[in-house]
Amino acid sequence: MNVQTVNPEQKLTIKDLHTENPRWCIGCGDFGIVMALKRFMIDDTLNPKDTVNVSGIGCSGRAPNYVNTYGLHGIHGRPIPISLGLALVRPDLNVFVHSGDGDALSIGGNHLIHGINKNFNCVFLLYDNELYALTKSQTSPTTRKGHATNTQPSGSYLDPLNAVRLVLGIGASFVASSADWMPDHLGQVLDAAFKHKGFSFVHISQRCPHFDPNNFDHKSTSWFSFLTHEKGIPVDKRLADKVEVVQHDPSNAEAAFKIANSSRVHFGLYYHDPKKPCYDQILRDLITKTEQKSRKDMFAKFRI
Amino acid sequence: MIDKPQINEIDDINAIPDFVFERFRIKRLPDHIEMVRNSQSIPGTEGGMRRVTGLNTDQTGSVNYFAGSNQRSHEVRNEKVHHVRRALTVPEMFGPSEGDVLAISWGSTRGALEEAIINCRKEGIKASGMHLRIVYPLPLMFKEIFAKFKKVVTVELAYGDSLKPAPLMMLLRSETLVDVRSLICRATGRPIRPKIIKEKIQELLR
Repeated sequence: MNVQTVNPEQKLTIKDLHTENPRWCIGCGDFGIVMALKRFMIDDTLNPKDTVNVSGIGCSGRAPNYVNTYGLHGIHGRPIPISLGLALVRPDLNVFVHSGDGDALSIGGNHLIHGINKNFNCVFLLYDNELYALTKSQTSPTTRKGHATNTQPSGSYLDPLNAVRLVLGIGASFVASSADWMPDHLGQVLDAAFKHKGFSFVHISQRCPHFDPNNFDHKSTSWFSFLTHEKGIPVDKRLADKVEVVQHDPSNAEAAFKIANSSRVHFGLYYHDPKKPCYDQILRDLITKTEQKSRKDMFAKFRI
Repeated sequence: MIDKPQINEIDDINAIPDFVFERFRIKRLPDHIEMVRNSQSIPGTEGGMRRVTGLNTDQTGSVNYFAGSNQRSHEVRNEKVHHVRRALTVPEMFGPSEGDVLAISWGSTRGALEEAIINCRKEGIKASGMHLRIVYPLPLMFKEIFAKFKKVVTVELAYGDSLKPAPLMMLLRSETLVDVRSLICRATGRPIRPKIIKEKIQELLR
């Protein structure tokens, strides 16, 4: 299949961003996430030549292959170090990091901590389907207690890890949550995350009809609430009158923790701190401030 | 005087001086070497959008699951290694290119082997040495070199015994089908001394 080129004169279309038909199961939530990303790229007129999608391994890892931008299908759990390198060298690029719940919280858990701590400029998408699906259903850190998988057939033994509370605890500067079946809301979240300068953590509840059809009930609306505020993200238009709406100021960290701690699921902007310093910016400032020396002078001392 | 940084910032490969090739005993590679993907553009290049992936791809860079495409990718990648193999020349030799024993080493054992061969030659033992700077891939003329010696042995700082063949010995045997044996294969972590190599060669020829 030929890679299509984008004419800069014309408006970007979904067709321009199409590469090939994804190899995901029928009804997979990843289709919704990739489509929301494409729509967001069109709405915010992101140039595909300046956009890089970096991923780890897993069903989520295939996402960059299905968007006609630059992409890197990296190694398991390590999309964050790769994208940190990109963010340091090429601040002109729009970096999107795609990682699954196992990739980000288990295999790449340590990189997630330092990615958030370094607060470099990228949008991090956590595809949370509550199990390992590419390897055909094993227990992941976010598998809910009692759910039977191939590795724990009598039901998962532990309570799931709360990803939003975890990243709030590490000190993320932008924490939002959405779901794959709400394209309008997911688009708004991506828009806010992209505009934030720093590590924008976006938790996405992703359906997995093949291995866990009951992980998220997308037909009913009683089990979740929307967070909204004038500084936050607007409620999904389609579901606005069916879902409970909670007013939450995203600059209030304490309230964000309380919401993350509750047993109810909340979609929206949890926390936003635009003032947290960015590691990539600090390093670049340091380089511009440093006195310029020619290579010849620098290596003169090391001549053998 | 070698200006090290200059070598690190060479833009044109033709500017690499000949002594660098001589040191590694390799000829220049051909100008054109085929890659799996035609496009190697970097982010920011208009129209060159591509995905770097561990999945198999065709020339255009699209993921491709067809059998023929997978076979082609393997052929292209292996051909790149074969280019290096064809360019490799005879490794560094100590002593004449024929005799009773050829001792082969790689890595840190070079100095000890060279000294041992000099000492052996002084005592009239027809021993020669060969030191490998590149262990993989190996050059193509090893069988001809080995044929001129009665015995071929390896000197390596790696474990081996009668049931567990030492790694370099195993590699050379599988490449050449010559009966290569281990002269020294130990994992003590201590340097191999020239005296020990000489004694072992004498023992071998006794």
